[in-house]
Amino acid sequence: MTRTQAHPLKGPNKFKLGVFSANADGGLAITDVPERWRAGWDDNLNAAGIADRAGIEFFLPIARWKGFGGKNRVREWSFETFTWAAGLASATTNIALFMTVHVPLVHPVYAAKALATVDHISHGRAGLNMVCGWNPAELGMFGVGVGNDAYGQAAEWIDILQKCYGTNQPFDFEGKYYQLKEVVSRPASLQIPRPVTMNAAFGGPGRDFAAKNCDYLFSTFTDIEDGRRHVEDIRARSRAQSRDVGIYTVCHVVARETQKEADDYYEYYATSRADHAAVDDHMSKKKEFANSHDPRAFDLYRKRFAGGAGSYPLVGTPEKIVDDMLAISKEGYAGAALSFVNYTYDLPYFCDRVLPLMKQAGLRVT
Amino acid sequence: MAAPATKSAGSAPFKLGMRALVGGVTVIGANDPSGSAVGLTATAVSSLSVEPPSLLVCINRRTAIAGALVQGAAFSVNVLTSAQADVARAFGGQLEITGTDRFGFGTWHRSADREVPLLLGCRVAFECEVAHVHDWQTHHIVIGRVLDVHFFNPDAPPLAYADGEYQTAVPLPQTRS
Repeated sequence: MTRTQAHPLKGPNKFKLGVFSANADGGLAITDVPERWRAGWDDNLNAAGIADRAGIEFFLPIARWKGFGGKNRVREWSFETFTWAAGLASATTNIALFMTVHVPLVHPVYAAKALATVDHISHGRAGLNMVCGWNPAELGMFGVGVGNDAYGQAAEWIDILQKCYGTNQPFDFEGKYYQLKEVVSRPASLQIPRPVTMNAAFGGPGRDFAAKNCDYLFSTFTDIEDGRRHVEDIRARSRAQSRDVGIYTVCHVVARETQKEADDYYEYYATSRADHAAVDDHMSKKKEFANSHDPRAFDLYRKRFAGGAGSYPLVGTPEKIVDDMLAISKEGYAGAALSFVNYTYDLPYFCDRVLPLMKQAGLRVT
Repeated sequence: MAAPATKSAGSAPFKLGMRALVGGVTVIGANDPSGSAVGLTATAVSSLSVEPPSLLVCINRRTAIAGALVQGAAFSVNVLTSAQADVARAFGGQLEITGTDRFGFGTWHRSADREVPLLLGCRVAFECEVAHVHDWQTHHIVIGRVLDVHFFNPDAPPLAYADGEYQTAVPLPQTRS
């Protein structure tokens, strides 16, 4: 079953799509509605199958070790992402499968081998999302603190991983964070020089790291019109590295036949039935420790945190959602990772109604 | 009057003349002695013999890939489609991209047996082993025994290089007999 065509993220669609956070309880939502996402294995298998058959380009998990409390202890239940991707790799044929890896928690030599394994199982569909970790309570479970040079460590980490794949002789590594002897790692990844990489850094040092080491950078924005500012910043940083980094964003989706139905459901799950204690916990932790969002987002968009962890809402009719995606594309974004309240309930409608309109609008050819 | 033995057209008219020769564009892929993937855009590729299946590639000896193409080494010849001009530019040094970053252009996989770089989605990729290297002045003429042929996208329009630019080739209109 050797693959013959390009990696899905290098395929022909102008605006590529992914499914985000299906490995974790609630997805990106923090809600108490009865249909909230439980993230069981069969749920994941079904959602990945739907996305794979519809031609959606990628499946992207979050890395979570501790939840945000509240009534449902949201996100406390989440699947580890190397093993999750390995399972999905065997059950899918075309979709790219990312693994989200905490640099301070996973040794790069272990990561190199695990990532290569999934790349072989998936016939070259693996992707690596490097995160440094922002939540002290979570890192504390491992006895690790939040470093003040997280991206310095990440630079050594990815350097080691790439050396594992790019050399046929044992090598030593003498860095500030890693001192390694006689490292070998076989097999190398199927993809050369390594599986595609992404990062979602918001601050300067993180974006410079991504510009140098990542193929894709995910960025959130408060308003679509504000998106270009991030695009230009990331482009300037990647040009300085003589690299071309694809820029993606994250959205939560409520698609219904009428705008009123969509608005009403959004209000229902993200306001009236939000898991408010967990929203408070998540927002306060993110605001204090994570440099991941525009500060304005915290003040203005409590609903967006309950709806989709502070990402941009795509709420409305299929036509309205495609108009929004056209606008996002015009700002310079190459695609979006999407979350839904319940992926297996909501993805079929999205695939049936929104994807054909995206094709008509010139955003997709497949 | 005997013709001088060293008569030469001169490099300028030669290069100008060679612009008229339409070449199919390939990227040669290999692993250098340290195991790191290397690649180079090349039009100087030719079929050599059918029995055994073999081809030849002309490589400037100053290029990084020249050191990888030694007797017995594995390499690939990837025949590009017209949608892969960016790959040709990256490996042709026209994008200021160096080293393994070039493999960020296109999707490259290690082959199953010999782990040579194969460009997915190209028209066809020939997986070869260096059978012989012949030196001629600035260049190596590398003869490759073809061990495997990967038909990734054989119907896609080809990428050609002529008159100093990337082009494609299209069939002539049907002529009446």
